[in-house]
Amino acid sequence: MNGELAWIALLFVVVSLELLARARPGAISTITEFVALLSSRTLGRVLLYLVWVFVGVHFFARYTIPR
Amino acid sequence: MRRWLTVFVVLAAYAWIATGAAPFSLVAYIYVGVPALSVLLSYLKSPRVRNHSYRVSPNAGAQSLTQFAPWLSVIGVALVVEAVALVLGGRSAVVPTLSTSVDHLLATHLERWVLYVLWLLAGFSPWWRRRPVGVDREL
Repeated sequence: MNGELAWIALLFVVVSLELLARARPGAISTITEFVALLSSRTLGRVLLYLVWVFVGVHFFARYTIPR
Repeated sequence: MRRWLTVFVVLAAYAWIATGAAPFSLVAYIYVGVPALSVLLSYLKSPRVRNHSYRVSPNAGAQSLTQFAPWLSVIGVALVVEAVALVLGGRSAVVPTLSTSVDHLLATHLERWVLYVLWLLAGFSPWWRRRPVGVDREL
C-alpha cells in the first residue's frame, strides 16, 4: 500500500486543482478546459486518442490480477 | 433522454461482456479494439465531433500558460514517478508503476466494469458533451 502513496498523492493534487479551478474561474484551467485546449489542435487530438487507446489496451486487455 | 439511456445501457452491457474476457486473450484485444476503431472512424467522419473542443469551451485556445501550467506540472510529475517506478522494476514496493497500482482495482469483474465504463465514457465524450461550459441550455 505504501508504494501507491505517490499515485494517491497525485490523485489528491488533481482533485484539489480541479476544485480550485472551479472555485476561482480564470485563475486555473479546469480539466475540461485543459483537454479542450489540447483537442483544439489536430496533434493534441491524436495524442489524446492514443493515450485513451493505450489506457484501454494496457488496463483492460493486458492487466495482471495481483495475488 | 430515452435514447441516451438506451445508449448507456448498451455500453454498460458491452462493458460487462468485455471485462469478462481473460487478459492477454485475442477477444480482450478485440473488445478494446471495437470502441477504439468506432471512435477513430467517427472522428474522421463527423465535423461535429472534430469541433468538440470549440463547442465545449469556445475560448480553449485563449488560455494562458499560467492557467494550464499546473496540469502540465501534474503530467510531468506523473511521468517522473512512472520513470522511477520503471527503473525500480515496475513492481517495486516503494514506487510501483501506475499500471501495477491500478491492477489492484482490476481484481474483480465489477471493478473492471466500472473502470471500463468510465473509459468508454471518456472516449465517447465528444458525443455526449454538447453544451459549452457555463451554458445551461443550448440556444
